[in-house]
Amino acid sequence: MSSRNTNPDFLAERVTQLFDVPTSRLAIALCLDVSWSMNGKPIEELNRGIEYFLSTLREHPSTRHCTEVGMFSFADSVEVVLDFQGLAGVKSTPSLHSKYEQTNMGDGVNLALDRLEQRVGEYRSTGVDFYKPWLVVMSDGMPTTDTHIAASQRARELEGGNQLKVLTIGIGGDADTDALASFSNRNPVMCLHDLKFAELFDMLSRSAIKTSQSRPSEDVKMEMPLTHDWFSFVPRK
Amino acid sequence: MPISPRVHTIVSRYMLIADTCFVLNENFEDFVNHFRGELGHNPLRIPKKVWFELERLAQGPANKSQQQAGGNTIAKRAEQAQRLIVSLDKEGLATVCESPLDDRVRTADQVISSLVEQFLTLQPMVVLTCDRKLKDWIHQKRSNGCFGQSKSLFVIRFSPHSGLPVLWRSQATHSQQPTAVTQATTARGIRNGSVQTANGGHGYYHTAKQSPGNRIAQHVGIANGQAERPSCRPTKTFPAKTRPFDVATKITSSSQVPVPGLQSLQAGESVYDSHHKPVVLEKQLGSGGEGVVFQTDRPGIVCKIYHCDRITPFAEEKIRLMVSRPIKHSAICWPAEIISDKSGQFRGFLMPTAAGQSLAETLFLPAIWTENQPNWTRRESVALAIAILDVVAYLHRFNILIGDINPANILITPAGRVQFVDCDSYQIEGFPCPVGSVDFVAPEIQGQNFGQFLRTPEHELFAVATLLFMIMLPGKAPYSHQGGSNGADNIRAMHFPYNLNARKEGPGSHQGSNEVVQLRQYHNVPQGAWRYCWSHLSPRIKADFHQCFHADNRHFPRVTLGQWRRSFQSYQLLLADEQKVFVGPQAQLGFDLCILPQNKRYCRDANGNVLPHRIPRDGKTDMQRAIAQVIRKLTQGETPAPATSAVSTSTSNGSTNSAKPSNGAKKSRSTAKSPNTATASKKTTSRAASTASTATAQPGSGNTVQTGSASAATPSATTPICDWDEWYEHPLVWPVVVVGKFAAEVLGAGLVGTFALGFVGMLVGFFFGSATTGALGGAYVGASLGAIAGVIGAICSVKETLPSIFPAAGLGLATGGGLGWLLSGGPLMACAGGCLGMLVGLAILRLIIDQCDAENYLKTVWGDDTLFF
Repeated sequence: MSSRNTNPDFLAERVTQLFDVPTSRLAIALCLDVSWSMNGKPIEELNRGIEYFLSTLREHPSTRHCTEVGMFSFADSVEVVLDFQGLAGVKSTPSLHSKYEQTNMGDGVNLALDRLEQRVGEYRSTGVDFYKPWLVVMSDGMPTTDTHIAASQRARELEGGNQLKVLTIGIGGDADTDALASFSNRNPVMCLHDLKFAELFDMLSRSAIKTSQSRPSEDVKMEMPLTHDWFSFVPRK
Repeated sequence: MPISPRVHTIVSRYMLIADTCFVLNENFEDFVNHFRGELGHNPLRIPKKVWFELERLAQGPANKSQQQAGGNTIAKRAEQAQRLIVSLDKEGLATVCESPLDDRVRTADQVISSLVEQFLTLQPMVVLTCDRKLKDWIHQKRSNGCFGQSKSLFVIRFSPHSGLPVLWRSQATHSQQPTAVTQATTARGIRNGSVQTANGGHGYYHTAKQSPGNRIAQHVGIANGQAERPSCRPTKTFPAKTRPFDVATKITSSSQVPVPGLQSLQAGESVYDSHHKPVVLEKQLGSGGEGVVFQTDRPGIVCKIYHCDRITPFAEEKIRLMVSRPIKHSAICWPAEIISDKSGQFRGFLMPTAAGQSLAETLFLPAIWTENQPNWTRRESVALAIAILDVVAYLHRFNILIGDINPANILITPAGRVQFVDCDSYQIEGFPCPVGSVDFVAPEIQGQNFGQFLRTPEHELFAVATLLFMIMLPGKAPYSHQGGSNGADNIRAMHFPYNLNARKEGPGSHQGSNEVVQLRQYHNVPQGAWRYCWSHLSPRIKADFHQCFHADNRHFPRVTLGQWRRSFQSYQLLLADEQKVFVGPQAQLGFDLCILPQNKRYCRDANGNVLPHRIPRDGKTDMQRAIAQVIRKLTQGETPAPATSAVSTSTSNGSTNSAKPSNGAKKSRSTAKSPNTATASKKTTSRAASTASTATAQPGSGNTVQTGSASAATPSATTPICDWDEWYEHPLVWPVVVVGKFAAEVLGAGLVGTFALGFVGMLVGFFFGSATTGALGGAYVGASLGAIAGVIGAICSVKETLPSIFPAAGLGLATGGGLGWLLSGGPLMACAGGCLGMLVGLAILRLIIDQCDAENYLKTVWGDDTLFF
């Protein structure tokens, strides 16, 4: 998978968006595990959650023009499910399928960060203000390659430079919380119980709305979950 | 038929503004007599322009045919009206109010409409007129933009049937509007004849169709008033009865330790006001970092209860001081009363309810705002800016500084007014405003702890300027720019990307070079609509913004509130003039309106319609070209997958702005010329070092633009001697610089330099044979080399080696001269020659420093205590 999007039509379209609506942007990179273990109910719930997330953001007036969601899946190979663009351009919610054995978490995160950097470069060169982008990594298993060590280093550096907000989410009890925790020095890993993706994406969309109502220079904290029975924070070692 | 009670109420309470045709009406005298009591409290305001028009009418028409057509009746009535106004003025029932626009506009209607726009957001008002056009304009205003549900703007006229004053409703509600032209509408024809005739009779608000046959008094020239003129009392809008707060110089020393042992209050509990009357906290309306706001059982009053850890003697004293001086202004939610709990402990305060949405949720999100308010134009933005300026000025009159000016604290109410909330954070006397929003904090106090010092009005003016900027370019902060970072660093560097007189800076204004000019003038203005939004502002407003934001004006005082008020008012006037305003195709963000500039950028098509831009040869609009440019840059001109986004921006910046390197690029290039790489070729050095510095820097903060701008804040970078970057490009110059730097470096080593120069001097002395010429020659060569190396070294910022250049050069001279002499003469002469050589060398150095005006620069390099000779 090419690390940068080179499709000229797509690029022209999304740069034009920046000219047409020069409002501040919030880029959200969702980096999702689609390995075999996610097959069945998990992936269905995840798809439903994403659909809810996108439709909430699309409907709320303050996030409609502001948020841009990129979706990246990783398994044997990494894939761009949805590249960053205004929500108006996303006609149908892409759905994820799992069929592979591996969990190539590092390459997935690297791809997400590459594409994120490309988009942030476009923000900068058009002079559009942007909020601190989010990287949301979700996985339910162990990374099967070593690439996540380098990728996590990169994510931590960006986070340390105040250029990225990293959220790591372990799905179920089998998730490798150590690997996930390595992506962020600030936020603990959130472990999702019972596949409650709806609650998770509800929290994310409320945070996105809150962020979009602030000024880009402000530091906005994530909204806290409304109920507490569907997740637990993994304590930092 | 009696006058309706509604009209009574309105006349007694609202600000009354009379138009010429109303005053001219035969029923005007009855109106005044009927409302004598009401007018005693609430005098009728008659714009001075109306008075002028009356004067002009009283002169009578010059044209005979029109005289026959009834011009004499008008003249007579105008005279009567003048007399009536004079007597009313004496009784205090009417005031003639001056407006800054009096001398600049043609008709009284323009003055009235500007008054309406100006005061609408501040107080309810009623316009007395019989002019349909003006009425329509006002009703449109009412149903337009943020004045949507405004209940506070009315028109009163004389009923054409009964002659009684009635409310004039809009066509929509009363389609059966009588169309009969009342006698008074004859005055509709009043305008400045000379100008209007030249325009073919198309006036500001009426056409021939609407006043058929009644344009009697049209052609009147400018007349000097013969009748007695009433004294012009300026109208006072704000009675300032409350004593202003004192100006403190240091922070009040009360304890800031929270009162221990407090329980937080919940909805449903009762608290007590200062008269020990209970107030029930009904519903929680909102909660913030400081406290919780509750609805109370008293209508129109809300209660703010501080969080338990925020209740300190300090906070209590501040609120008590605020309550002691009631600021009664409809736009300010000033604390009204102290609230305590059962035990009498201070817990919070009562304040009036504020309805509406904050600027941050409305205008500053233009994408949403333009959907909700499709009729919002720049005129409304200007009116909003003026309304906000008035409130800030009102507060400043009491020595209150808002401190934390930010778009979340200013609401636009459904009635179209502004409302300032969160007043308990304002800075009064020795109580500072403990908070601040990054975008609105002046560069000099950026990043400081706001609770630890008192802000000055100068700091406040920066915040006001930022707010005004963000109103005019809806939601865009003044310092965000292409390739910039967010927030504080942009402000500290004061890199204001918008250009003031870009056109003059370009190399030429002929067609061929247009592209180049574009590139230079906007080299990092945010793309998209923002640049048009800026360029469509009036030059005066642009100049004011520049005075506040541009780094060159860092040491100048910022634009005062009064200056802003005047600038915006004149802008409002410009926008009110339909002839000069172009309604653009971009009907979003409120920048559809622009003033036609003088530079003929705007031209007209065959039908006389104004075209927005000159049609370019390739048929593409500016916007399309800019989009193509960005895409080209992003797809081709970049290295694949850079390690951090910082690198990608720095390279892309450098490549596109080759015509004029940005501040950041310039800085990184000059750091590249550090001594340790001096011997290498210049171009490779700079390239290598810039990438090296970026790569080694912290990924977040080590953005090259950021470092460049941060160091631009220090004085050394603000006083460049000349554009050395351009000089370097010259093939003759850069080898010299490299050699000079090398020399400076060698000199800096001290002894080596001494002997090197001495050796040169010696050789010269030796070869010239004669003792005197030898010594002088040696000294001269040594001094020149030392001096040149010194200056070049200074300019190249070889800071470490510079201080040793003087002694090195001096020693070089002395030994050079001395050795030269020793070889051919006696020791005494050698000493004399050396001293002479040293003096000559210093004189040359001084001369070079003067020529380059380098003294200040060298002082910044070496420190202020550097001695010059």
